[in-house]
Amino acid sequence: MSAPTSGATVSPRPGLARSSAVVCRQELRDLWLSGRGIPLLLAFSVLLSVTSYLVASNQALNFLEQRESVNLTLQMAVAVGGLMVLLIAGDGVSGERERETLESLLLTPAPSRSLVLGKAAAALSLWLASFVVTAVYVVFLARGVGIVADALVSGFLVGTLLSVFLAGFGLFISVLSSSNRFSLSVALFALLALFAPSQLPTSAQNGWAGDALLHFDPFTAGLQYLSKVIVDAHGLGSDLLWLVGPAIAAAAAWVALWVASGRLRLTPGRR
Amino acid sequence: MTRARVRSTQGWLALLATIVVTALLLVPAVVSSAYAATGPSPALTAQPLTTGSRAGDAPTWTVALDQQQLSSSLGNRFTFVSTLDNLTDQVRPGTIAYLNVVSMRSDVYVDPEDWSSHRTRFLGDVQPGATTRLTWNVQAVNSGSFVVFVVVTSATGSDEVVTSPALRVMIADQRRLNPTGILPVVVAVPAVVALGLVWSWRRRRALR
Repeated sequence: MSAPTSGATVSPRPGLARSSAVVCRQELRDLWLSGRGIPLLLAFSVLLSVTSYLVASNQALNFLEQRESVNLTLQMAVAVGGLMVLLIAGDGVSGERERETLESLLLTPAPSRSLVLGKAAAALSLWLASFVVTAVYVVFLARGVGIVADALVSGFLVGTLLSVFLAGFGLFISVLSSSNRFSLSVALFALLALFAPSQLPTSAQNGWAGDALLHFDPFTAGLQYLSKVIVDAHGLGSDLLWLVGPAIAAAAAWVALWVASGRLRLTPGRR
Repeated sequence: MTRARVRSTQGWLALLATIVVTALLLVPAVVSSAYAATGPSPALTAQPLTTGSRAGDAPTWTVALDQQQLSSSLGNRFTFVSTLDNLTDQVRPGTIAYLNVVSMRSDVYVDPEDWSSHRTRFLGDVQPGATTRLTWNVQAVNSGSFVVFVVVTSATGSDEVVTSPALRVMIADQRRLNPTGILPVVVAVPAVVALGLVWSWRRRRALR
């Protein structure tokens, strides 16, 4: 990130909200106009096209119900959208540190937390863009069975919660890492670990321990909520308990990030 | 700064590849777990009724099918009826009818559970001279040549396994280029995003 021009000469220090907004604007420009965001979005749309074509083929062969097709596509979108947010967030601080572009911010009279907040907001913009792309597929696949609104609202809710969690988590790891490689490795490993419970066989999900794991693992819980709303046709408010896990994970990640970002050092090679 | 940008671009290309590979690994896993036998019954080409036979010496009971052969397409559902006649003068306790599917080609793996989720019927005690009709709903989940048959047995007797005649089923493959009309969407959305990428690239070049 280059040093924000507006606000750089303001003295005394601008408030957290104002400086965060300046950082966010700059990050958004870097992400969407310098070519990082759109290639990721292109890869995302290609992947979603492949998935949608696959589920539509299976739907045409009567192997999948329409509701299951929508659920599958939405789950894929939420998972990969979250992955992209994590990658951007994981690169946020450690990447700048590695590229030695962080020190230019030494001249900017902005609190270090505003730097992190601005980067988090920019990372979340990737989820919002992904959701816009996803909505096109969902509206097409869900037409005719009256689940378009529920699918879009539940998908946005779950995707946003998971993205907020992953943005906080990715930036937390990034603030603590001096190497981008280390930061991204840890972030991706954690993401795979969080996905693991959703792939457990049904026989391993029984009992109170299995049930607790499913509810507290943010990905499994979020994807379960989507299934309940879309496939089982439960109302949006019927299974909100499944969203407690993702909400707690998001809150915990942001508390950790808030604490860690207060100690952020901008000088090269320092954490 | 330029070198940093180059390193950054290389890094992002690697990340892009990671996303695509990870996601492509996830797709088959999720899809395979979501398979379900659903959907409407399509048209079938049914052959006339045929009489069943029994494996064994003395006629104790017979199993007949209402069709001898049929043709359908992959994913379609079809229905047939089996008729069980107890020709003896004894009650057959704990009678069970069981549906099975066999592929006539060695390279086609058949999991009968995929073809029918209700393959075992517990009929209880079948009275002497009683006739029991069973309707079997089957979905064609593989293409090729198959034999479908019904086996009946009861709780007692070592030789009491009776098999129906074969229902020969030909399932044609189905290849649709535009399933459910989604093709324009899956092409147009990435194309629009790609246009955005071209615009962004040209804008960056213009600014240099």
